[in-house]
Amino acid sequence: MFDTSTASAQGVDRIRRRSGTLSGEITNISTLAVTISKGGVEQKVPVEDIRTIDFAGEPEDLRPARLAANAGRYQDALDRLGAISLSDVEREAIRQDIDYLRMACQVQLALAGQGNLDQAAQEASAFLKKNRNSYRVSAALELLGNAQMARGEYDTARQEYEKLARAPSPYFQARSAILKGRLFQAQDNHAEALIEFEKALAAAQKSAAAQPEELEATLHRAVSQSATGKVEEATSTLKEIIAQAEPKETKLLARAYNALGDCYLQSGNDKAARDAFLHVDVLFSAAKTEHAKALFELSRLWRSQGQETRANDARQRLEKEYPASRWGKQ
Amino acid sequence: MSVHTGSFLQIVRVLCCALVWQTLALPLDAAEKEVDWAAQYLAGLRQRGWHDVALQYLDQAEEDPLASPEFLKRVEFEQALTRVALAKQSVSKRQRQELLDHACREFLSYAQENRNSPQEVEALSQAGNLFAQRALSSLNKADQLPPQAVNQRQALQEASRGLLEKASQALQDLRVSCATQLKAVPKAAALQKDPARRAMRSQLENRQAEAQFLLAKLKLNKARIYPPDSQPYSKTLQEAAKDFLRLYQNYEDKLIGFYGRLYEGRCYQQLGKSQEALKCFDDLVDRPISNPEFRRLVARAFRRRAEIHLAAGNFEDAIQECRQYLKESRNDELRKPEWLAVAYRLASAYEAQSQTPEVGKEAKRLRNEARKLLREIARHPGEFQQVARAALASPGGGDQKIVVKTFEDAFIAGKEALEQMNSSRLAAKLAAENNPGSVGNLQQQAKLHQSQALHYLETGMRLADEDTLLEKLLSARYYLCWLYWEEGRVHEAALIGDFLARRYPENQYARVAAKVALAAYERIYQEARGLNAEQAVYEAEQLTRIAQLIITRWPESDEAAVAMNLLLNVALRDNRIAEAETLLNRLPAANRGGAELSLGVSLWKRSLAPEGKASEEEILKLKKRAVELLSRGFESLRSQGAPSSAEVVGALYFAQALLAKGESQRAVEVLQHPQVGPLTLVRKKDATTRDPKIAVEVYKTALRAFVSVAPPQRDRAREIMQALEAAYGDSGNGGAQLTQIYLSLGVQLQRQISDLTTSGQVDKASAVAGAFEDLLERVTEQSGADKSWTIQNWIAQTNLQLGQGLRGQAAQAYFEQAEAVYRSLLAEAEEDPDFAPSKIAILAVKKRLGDTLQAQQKFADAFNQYTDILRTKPNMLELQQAAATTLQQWGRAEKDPKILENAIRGTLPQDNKKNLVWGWLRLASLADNAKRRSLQSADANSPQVKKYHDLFFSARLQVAQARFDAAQLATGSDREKQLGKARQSLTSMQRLYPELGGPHWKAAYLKLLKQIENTSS
Repeated sequence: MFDTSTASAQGVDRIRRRSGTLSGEITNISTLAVTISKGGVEQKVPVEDIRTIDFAGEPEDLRPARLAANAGRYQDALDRLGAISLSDVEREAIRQDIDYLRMACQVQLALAGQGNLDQAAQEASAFLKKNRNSYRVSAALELLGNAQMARGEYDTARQEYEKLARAPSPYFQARSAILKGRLFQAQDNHAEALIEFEKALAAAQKSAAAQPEELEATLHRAVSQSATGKVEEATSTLKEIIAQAEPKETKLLARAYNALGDCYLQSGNDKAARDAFLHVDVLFSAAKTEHAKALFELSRLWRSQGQETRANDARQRLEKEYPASRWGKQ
Repeated sequence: MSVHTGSFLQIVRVLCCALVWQTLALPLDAAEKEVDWAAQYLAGLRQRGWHDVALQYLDQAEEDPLASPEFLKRVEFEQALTRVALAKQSVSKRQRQELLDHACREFLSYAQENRNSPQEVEALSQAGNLFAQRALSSLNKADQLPPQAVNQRQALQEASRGLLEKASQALQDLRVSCATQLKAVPKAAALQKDPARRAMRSQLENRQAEAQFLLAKLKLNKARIYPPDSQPYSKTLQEAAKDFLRLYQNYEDKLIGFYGRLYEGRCYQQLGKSQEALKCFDDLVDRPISNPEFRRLVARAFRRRAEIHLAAGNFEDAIQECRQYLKESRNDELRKPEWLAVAYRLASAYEAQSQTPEVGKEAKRLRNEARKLLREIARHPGEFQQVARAALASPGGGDQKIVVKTFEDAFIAGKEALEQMNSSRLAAKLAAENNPGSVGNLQQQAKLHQSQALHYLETGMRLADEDTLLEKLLSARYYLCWLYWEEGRVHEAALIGDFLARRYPENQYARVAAKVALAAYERIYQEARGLNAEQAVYEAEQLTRIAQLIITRWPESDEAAVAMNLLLNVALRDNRIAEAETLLNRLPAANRGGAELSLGVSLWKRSLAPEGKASEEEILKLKKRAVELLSRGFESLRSQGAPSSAEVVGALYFAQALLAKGESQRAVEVLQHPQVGPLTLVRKKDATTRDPKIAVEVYKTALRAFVSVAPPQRDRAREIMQALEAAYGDSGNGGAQLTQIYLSLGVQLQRQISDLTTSGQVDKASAVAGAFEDLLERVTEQSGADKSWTIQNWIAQTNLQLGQGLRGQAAQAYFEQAEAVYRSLLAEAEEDPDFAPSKIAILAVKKRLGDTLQAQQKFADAFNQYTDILRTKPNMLELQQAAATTLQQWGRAEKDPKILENAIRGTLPQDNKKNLVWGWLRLASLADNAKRRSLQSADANSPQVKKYHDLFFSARLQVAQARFDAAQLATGSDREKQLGKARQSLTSMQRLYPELGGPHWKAAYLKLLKQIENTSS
């Protein structure tokens, strides 16, 4: 969703895709694709292939804000965005991007327990109403659904996720199924979740753009497999995911270690579970939602292992860093 | 004073100007440029000080999907490093030792696995350094021992020698490895375009130099093993001096070379060759230098020069040189350890000079100068900080306490007093052998220091404030905890120990504090139980809590095994057998022996007095498990030796269990085991069997064993009887007690015979009975035995019990013997009114004569015996039961339905129209009423209520049984009628009491009902 490259936008628009960068002039933006023209030749880039867009003439704080958001430094990103004067922004696409980034950071902070969920959900709704043709609509739908799920509004969240599947693209079908699967997981309905993840895997195989979704679906499927008793199979899948993950995929690694910790808990291996969650705490604490969960589990595991100080330390960090997260409230 | 090898290793590495080794090891390939998550994770854990978790992680590293093959290859090395770090955190000497031993083995093994590689060099360097550190630690301990501790000092020096040799071997190997690897790397000049390999070459050269230096230093330290002025001492120092000189020559104009010169001087200094030493130091002190490392070296040289001046009494020279040097030093340097050491020598010189006669009025100024310097030294960390503080605080000995105004001062004074206390204790212990006259004085000194330590540390607690360093505060608390324990102030010890363990589990003292708390809580619990076992619930909870904390927090520790054992014993005391079994399984296998014996004893006891109405099968199962545990426990005991009293009791129970199983030979072996056999220990008058009760039980068991072993060891049995008689000889009622013992032996033999019969070992049962018969004869032949009511009664009763334990003809002989003796007793009592101790005793003999007759199926005679007593004691339930049983068996034997009816409804009507013998129906009715009455004043589980409960269900069952017996004698409609009555008796009981009095009675009722149904159909 966010870009991590270092190129800067000057006089031309730049679309940073998964498979390289295109520069030129953006001539059309829709919810499904962005059209860029160079030397009179137009090229339509599907939204799922776009990592980010640097617009010609965008405010100088916008790009650092994007980078901070990509790195999970949402508060830094918001501070940068706060420095931008919207009245100076004339181009609609840029204004939309600023709106989106502000909303996305607020939702992410709220999801990590560092902000207000109600307000975040409202922001996401407002963005969607105001920017019906933005290429960020699909991402905003997912964020809105996530916020609703965190508030326990499962039905409304499902409706948002289902909207994604309406797009005529295997990528969005896979994405929608993954999100619905996670929704079922949140409701402890692992049998339904497994069905959704299987759908996601099937859809992901139809398109190269959907390949990363295959890994994510596999990861979440392992969690549900573990919950339905197939702990060994799930553990082995998760280990494979971790072993194959790129070092930069720290969020995925954090998720995978948390899932691995859950599997070990399921099989009663508390020490291995503690080590898995400890990986998230020591190595991947930038993945905030996952870090909150890891701290929660660690506080319990340390206590059960007679390590009161470590348990208290984990609990205090959880309450300090993620006061509003669902883990912090437990 | 020697420089610590560990710190020196760091210095050497600085001197060698090495680049970071890891970056030079090999040219990096693409794979290695990637993130090594496992290494980062390990580093993260170490950064948090969680070496325990790090070690656990490394043990399981293969399970971590992020652990790369490169990382997994060096796991053993990382494990060793982690163990060294853990050892530093541990305050347990033994644990520290184990960790370091393990680490050394791992470093060497890793080096072996990675021959001629940078990894080998690194591992050998670590191993050499570690061995050297441990050797130095032993040498330092030896130096601190009091002069009397000759053996201990030798042991420590011996240990140091071994460690120094190992260190030397590791460093020699390191040199060889470096040399081999260097041969494979081109000269530096040829590596201009290959910086990585050039750096690697340089690194190997540095390591070689480092090893050369450390090897020489090992020799310098090795000299400390020998007495000064001895030949090996001089020889070793001279060799070290040569090695250092070689280093000086090989690395001319390099820092490591100059250090060689410094240490060469130190060798001469120790040899007493002051001039040679000063010459070496002179080569160092005159150099104008700015490099900080060189300046440190020079400071060291000045310190050594001052030491030589002081030893020679040239105080003025020492003062001049040191004062001048410190004056010329930079301000920031004056607080560094090397300069503080020079300052300390200067203070010593002032102090020494002040005591010379020629200084006159200057003395006071000199002392003031010295104190000024000491105050400065005491403020900064360094080799002399403690000693400076002690010098400032020293009250000059005796019991005078110094005034302490800060926590810091109190802490130091407390620690000092503790050290003196330990030293005095050790000296007292040693003096017990060498100079017994001084023991009292030394013990008094130890006590005085103990009270001073307590005073200072308690004062320190009051002086502590928010600026007090937590580490020191916790150390002070632990010392107090330990002192309270020593003083017998167990509540305070428990409180502080518990607090430290619970609140600061990461602290180095947490584990030992928990151990003290555990011991203290146990003592509190035992004391509370001693006062009132029922009221010790709170104390038991406290004990359980700390034990559980230890087990959870330090599961692999020895303390956890102790705690688990304790919990197990508490569970056993509270009769929670299942929990005790679970706890036993959680104990490390090596520590299970004592617990297995305790649990085995508990199960064995339970099998002898089962709760409720356990089935025979359940009891056999219980016994089997008990014997398994006792056997395993005894095996552990055999291998570990030195048993506790409780373990001796466990072994005794094991022998008893073996006897019950008919394994008399094994029982004899257990009892007479040369190291841990209970009989052996009693004979040796071992402390564990000093309790007379234990000794008597051992004799009783041994008597049984010798009597029942095949062939019986009658001589041994006689010896034991003599021992028993001797044990009771002095006491007033010894004879009566002895008879009780023989009687209880009879009961045990009866049980043994019964067990053997039940398990089908009839031959063994007969052999035991025969052997015991011999014993009976011997007892009977004893002087006055025939005139003793007690002995005769015992003989009769034992014969009766033996007979009851056997079957058929084998039993008959014993019954006849019993009958004869009972009849003789009653006849004698008839003739001599004083023969029987009481009228009740005569009634009891009559009752047992009845039992004997009934056992021989002489029902009429038995019935007469019982009714004879009933005429005077008609309300004796036991007799009424016996009479009804006799009638029932009699009726069955004679096939007489009338007698069976009498068993049900009673017989022998008296003048009051009531039957003398009640019969089962009336017994049931009376039992039911009595139960109801008892329930008004006692609970349902009280023995009294239970007795009536069982009598009621037994009597009602016998009613149905007697009717069934009668039906079997009848024919036609009469038979059907009797069967119907029997069935009705049972079904009406079922309706009224669906549970039929519990599992035991229910099974019996249903069994009979089934028999009736089968007969009807």
